[in-house]
Amino acid sequence: MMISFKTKMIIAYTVLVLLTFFWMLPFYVALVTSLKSHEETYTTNVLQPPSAANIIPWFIAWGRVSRAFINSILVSIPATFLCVLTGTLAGYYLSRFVSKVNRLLFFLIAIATFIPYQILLIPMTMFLSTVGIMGTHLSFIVAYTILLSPWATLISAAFFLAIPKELEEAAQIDGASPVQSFFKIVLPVALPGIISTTIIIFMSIWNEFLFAVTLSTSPIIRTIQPEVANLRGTTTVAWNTLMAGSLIAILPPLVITLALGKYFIRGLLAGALKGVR
Amino acid sequence: MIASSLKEKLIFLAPILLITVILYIMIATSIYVSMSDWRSYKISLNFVGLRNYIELFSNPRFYAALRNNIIWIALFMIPTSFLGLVLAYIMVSTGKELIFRTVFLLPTAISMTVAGTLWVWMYASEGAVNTLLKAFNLSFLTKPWISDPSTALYALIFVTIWQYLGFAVIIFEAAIKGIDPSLIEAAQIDGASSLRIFWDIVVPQVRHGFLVAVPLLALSALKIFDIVYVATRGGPGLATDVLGYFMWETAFWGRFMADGAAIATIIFAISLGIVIPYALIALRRWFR
Repeated sequence: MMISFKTKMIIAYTVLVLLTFFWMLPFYVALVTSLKSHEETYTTNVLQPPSAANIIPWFIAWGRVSRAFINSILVSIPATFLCVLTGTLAGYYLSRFVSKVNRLLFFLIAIATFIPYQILLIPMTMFLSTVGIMGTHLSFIVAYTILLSPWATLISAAFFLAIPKELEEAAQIDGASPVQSFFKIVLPVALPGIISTTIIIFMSIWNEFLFAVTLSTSPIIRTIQPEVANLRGTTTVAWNTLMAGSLIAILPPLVITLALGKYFIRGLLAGALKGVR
Repeated sequence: MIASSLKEKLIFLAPILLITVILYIMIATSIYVSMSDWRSYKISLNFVGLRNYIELFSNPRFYAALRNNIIWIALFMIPTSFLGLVLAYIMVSTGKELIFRTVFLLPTAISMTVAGTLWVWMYASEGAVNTLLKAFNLSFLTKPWISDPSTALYALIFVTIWQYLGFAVIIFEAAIKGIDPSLIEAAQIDGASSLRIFWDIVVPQVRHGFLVAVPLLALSALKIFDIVYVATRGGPGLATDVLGYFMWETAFWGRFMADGAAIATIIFAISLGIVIPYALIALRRWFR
């Protein structure tokens, strides 16, 4: 049976619009709840907007999570920088010098990237305790640099593979060393790929929970995700505050996705080892 | 070819070599700890052979968690990849990908901890899900979704579908755009219906999309932890217990480090069955 093009489009849009509503519903409900008074969250329908926007839950939530939010920033930025630095150097090399040894190295890095973190959790706490930095911001930075540098390497390698080799071969004929040509010729061209890598690594660290909850040995150094989990665990926190706190915790990734979506998507594809075109 | 001296090699590779060596030493350490007697705050690494595994295999909680992981993988991986493909196909055919893609990506961008928190509220007795059901005169379907043992697991699995659908959409959108348009045009000229084109041309042409999405989705469900921690702590009873949560609770609440390491080693062993073929395929695709 043939359906007309117009009918097909109506069906397509209906499916997409209905799913869009349902997919956005948790965000909408969270926002609406976060703007209601404690009393209103119990007396009004959850889907109904508040009678008047009440920003007190946001102030209470910020009071509860601000230290953790700042901790997450203090940890995520240096760790992201170290991962991207390691990953860019190694990813470039692996994309340019294809040998048996490098293929083996690529394979070992890929395994290390995708194995579940549970197998690394106990040894990591042993390592951080032995070095004597357990319970400090540095412990998170070291842990995330070790955990996510392999992925940063693979994502960078995907982007470098898409850049033609002739570029730096020309530079080297002119007498530049590989290190010089990497910094002067390749890096500027690779900038979009490096932005994608940075976004993916930053968001992974920001959103990570298994190590975050384990390394947050005291409330002083607790990062944002365990803090939200902790808010949820405390019965004294009302739904409106919990939703405001949750929205604060996802603000950075949401802003990045809305502002730099194209880079995020390219990074996701490269990170899945799909290759970059 | 570009010359490279040992010194230059080291500048590029030394950091990742160091980190890779550390990671593999950590894996070996975990496996060793799983055969030790470390069961307190104080570290103790006397070798006890397979004792911890034997005890684990006689613990009913292990089988409950394993069963939930298997259900999670199946009911998460199959709908997410299939729905992702269908949605990507519909999106591409409307030509309005940008807006819809962003909609599905937002849940993918946020942490699973917050996703779990938002959905705990969605699933509450007076939450949005039950409110919507009542609005559509389906009150008989309302229930406390995550405190009812018969629905808790499926309710959490749905949240992970909600989160990862955007990821699947992205993978399949890229795969669909890689299809030679003349294939589809030829079928249209032959008068094939959209459904036929989808089954006979699109699905086989995007099989490399499945090769990317399916293993990664399976791994995500295998290591699942965050949402169980924040939403149910494995409960009610053992209804939503999974290996990842069982491992963490054993090692870091109970301080049975060796037993936790044994569970971690089992998760690791299962994951290798997915990760090794995945890495080999990616290697071949990249360096052909």
